[in-house]
Amino acid sequence: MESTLKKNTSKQLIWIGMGSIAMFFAGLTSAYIVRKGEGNWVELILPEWFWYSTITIILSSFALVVANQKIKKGKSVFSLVLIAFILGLLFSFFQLNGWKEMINQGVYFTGNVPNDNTMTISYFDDSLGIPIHVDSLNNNDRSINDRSTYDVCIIYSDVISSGIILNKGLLPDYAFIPKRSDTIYGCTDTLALNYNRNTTVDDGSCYYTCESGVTVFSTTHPYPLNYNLVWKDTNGHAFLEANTTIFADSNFSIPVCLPGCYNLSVTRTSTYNVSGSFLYVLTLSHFVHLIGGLIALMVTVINAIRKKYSADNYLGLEITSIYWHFLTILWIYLYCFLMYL
Amino acid sequence: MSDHHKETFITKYIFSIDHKMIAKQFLITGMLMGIVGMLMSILFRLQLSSPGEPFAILEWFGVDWNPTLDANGNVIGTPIMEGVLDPNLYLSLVTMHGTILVFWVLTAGLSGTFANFLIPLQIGARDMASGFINMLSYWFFFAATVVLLISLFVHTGPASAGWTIYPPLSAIKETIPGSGLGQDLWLIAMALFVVSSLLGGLNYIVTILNLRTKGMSMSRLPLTIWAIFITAILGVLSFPVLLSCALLLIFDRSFGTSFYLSDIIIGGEALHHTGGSPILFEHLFWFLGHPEVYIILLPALGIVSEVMSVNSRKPIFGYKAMVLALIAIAFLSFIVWGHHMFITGMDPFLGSVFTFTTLLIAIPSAVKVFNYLATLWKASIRFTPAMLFTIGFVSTFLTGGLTGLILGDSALDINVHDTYFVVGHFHIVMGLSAIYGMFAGVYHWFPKMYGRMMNKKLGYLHFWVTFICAYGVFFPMHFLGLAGLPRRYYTNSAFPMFDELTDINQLITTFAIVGGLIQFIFVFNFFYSIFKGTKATKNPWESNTLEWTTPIERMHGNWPGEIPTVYRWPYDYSKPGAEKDFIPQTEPLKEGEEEH
Repeated sequence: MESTLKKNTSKQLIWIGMGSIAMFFAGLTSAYIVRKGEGNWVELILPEWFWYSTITIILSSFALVVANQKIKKGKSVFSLVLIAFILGLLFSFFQLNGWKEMINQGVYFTGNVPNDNTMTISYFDDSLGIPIHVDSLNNNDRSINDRSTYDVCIIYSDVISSGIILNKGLLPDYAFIPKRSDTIYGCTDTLALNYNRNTTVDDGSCYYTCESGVTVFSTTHPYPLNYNLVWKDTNGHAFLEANTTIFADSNFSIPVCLPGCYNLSVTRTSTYNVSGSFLYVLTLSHFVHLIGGLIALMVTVINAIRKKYSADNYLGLEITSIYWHFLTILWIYLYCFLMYL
Repeated sequence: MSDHHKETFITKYIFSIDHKMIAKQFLITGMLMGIVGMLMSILFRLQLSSPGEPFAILEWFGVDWNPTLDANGNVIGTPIMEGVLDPNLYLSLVTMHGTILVFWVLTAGLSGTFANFLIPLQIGARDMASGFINMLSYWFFFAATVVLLISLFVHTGPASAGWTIYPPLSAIKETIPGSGLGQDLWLIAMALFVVSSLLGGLNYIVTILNLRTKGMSMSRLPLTIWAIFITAILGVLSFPVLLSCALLLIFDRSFGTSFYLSDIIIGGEALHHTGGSPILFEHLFWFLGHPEVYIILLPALGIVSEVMSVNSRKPIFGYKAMVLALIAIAFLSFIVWGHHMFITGMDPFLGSVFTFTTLLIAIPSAVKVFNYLATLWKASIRFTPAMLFTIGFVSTFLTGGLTGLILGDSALDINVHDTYFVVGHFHIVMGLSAIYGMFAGVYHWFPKMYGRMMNKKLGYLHFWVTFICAYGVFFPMHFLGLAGLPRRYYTNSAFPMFDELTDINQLITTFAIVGGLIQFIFVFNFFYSIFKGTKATKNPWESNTLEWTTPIERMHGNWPGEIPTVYRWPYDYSKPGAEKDFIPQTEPLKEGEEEH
């Protein structure tokens, strides 16, 4: 009677406790869904380690299922419980590797990214539809780190064919925008941005707003980066400022008034990466609960060595197994959640 | 059971595993916290009735509390300038008042006391399923209490972001002095509190499921136990969500993540947080926060059902309906959290869904009120102090519930959101109702707890002054709210349109002071009666439930011999054909007698 009562009570305690833990993760994953629904979210590339750990924990759960069947027939379960425990440790090892790889990818808990990424800045004249760097693809491309500044002069050239004259090795870089006609046609309005004193005949091509652009590409980093871009004129007066998130394989362009000499400074602001923070919180919270499971398994192993379990009395093994299966299911849920949602 | 071990002073009074002693520990801690919380409310009510005016009492209370700091953390000026309340201190007081009353008094003080005391006694068990977990539950609560009280005395003052700790105010240390160490301590205290609450809840559930005595089927449980059972389930399901919510807040505060924070500029400096959403916090918080309202209310509903039936000398009307209503309220409480957030830019369609689910709660609540009234109808009522508080409960549950209909409707709520209308509503329906339930429980079970009776006359005085003053405080708040007066403001003197409301504010403060002082009569009555009250008989209220079959002297294990067997439900009062107007649950059914 007494032992049935203890059995029922302990089992109910573990089930209600698991319900409680499930609500904790329900809270976190709902927060994940709500936050993701608001947009501005990075899809993370999950390390393969998490796949290995998923298989490992399923195997360890399987070992415990077999152990429970064996103990009912009164057989020794020591080896099976030990296997489950070792697989549990292996799971922890794979998790640690997974987090390590996330860090190598540049996904940090706080959402900041490391400095060793490079991005490219190119100049592009939108109004003419001509990339300014046609002739020398690499010379205007700059790798930048956290903070870089450039001096850029954009002036008109009388020579179409040469396109761009580059002043290699010296600052500033000169980018020459080709002129539209040989000598005569063009914009004669002095108020227009593309006014050129050499133009003799107005062909109606005057434009008054900034239409030329600077295009920024992110190249090496798999996740979006946030940059603050400031253009200053030669007097040091900042006339244009922009904040932007630059995604991989996409570009960002911002109009710059032409012509003239500018100083462009690019500063990496924070990388919004709250999806990374969510990943760490979910996986680490699971891990914290798993530590409890590992301790319980360890006690089970010790009890199995001492031959404390028999066909009539294996409550400790049973409860540890229930909790361990719960951790397995919880991990599968989290893995699928992070992988496919 | 071999529970009759020798008790030393420490195992009897301090690290006790006896549920009755743990219940008393919860009750007395809860009462002390209640006094602290109440005094805080009187301090800030003084400020609201006479903004900017000095009070000698504030001068005495407020020395070095919550000073205004400059950038280097040095104190600017004196915190209470000649008895005038500092704005930061005002916010701290409001925050701590809410925290203490909601969690410490009405959650732990109410559930902790009556769940621990009544579960084993009313279901016929020697003790809780695990006396040790029960003890741990109290000591986690005690540690939480100590941490929370310590936060009152730190240099920068206690938490000031409101009991709902909305970020960014609670998340960024630079925003307000109380968001520094005070908020950290608040979070630690709350984490300890959640652990205590979970341990307690687990214990209550398994005890009720497993340790009922022979014959005590679920359908024969007193409604107190039903209410506590459902409260415990609510607790173990909703507190973990608060934990996850607070976990993310802690990461934002101390580890630089951006779960709740985005694009914040303080003093011209942009913080690095980007992409977070404070609305996310509100969703998570209120997912706990709304069930928490019912964690507070349900035990009071249970106590009221029991006390009312005993003192009406009638069976409770609609026992099954009462249980179903409790379950329905508990279920609905999980799907209504959005009604706290109607003005967060919520999609109007979603708002209408939350309006619908919220208004659904009116149905089980109305069932309960109807059943209470039907129980009172044509009853031979014994107006004990406990019964008066029970009737007071029905009154406040009804008046507060009616304004809930206004606040639950998104279209109407937007007009009075964050005004004193809301303050009036929840203080009446949740605060007063739950505290009346607690008073009713204390007056009713005091003889069982201490073997003596509380003074009746002081009880009447306590009830009538409390009842009148409480309505005097909270009823006018509805008018303040309809006039547009926002809640939580330090002063409204900058808005000429509110000038004419000063009189009402002074009236409220007067009632608050009188109502607050009268609670000391209760405290006096309580402690005096422990030592000097008239001795109680075994069953002073002529009640049916099992706790009144135990000996008057406290003993570990509750019953000296066998645990009694139960043959009937607990509400056989004034049964036709019976000799007396009550038949204890232990009385076997007579031949040909129907159960009920």
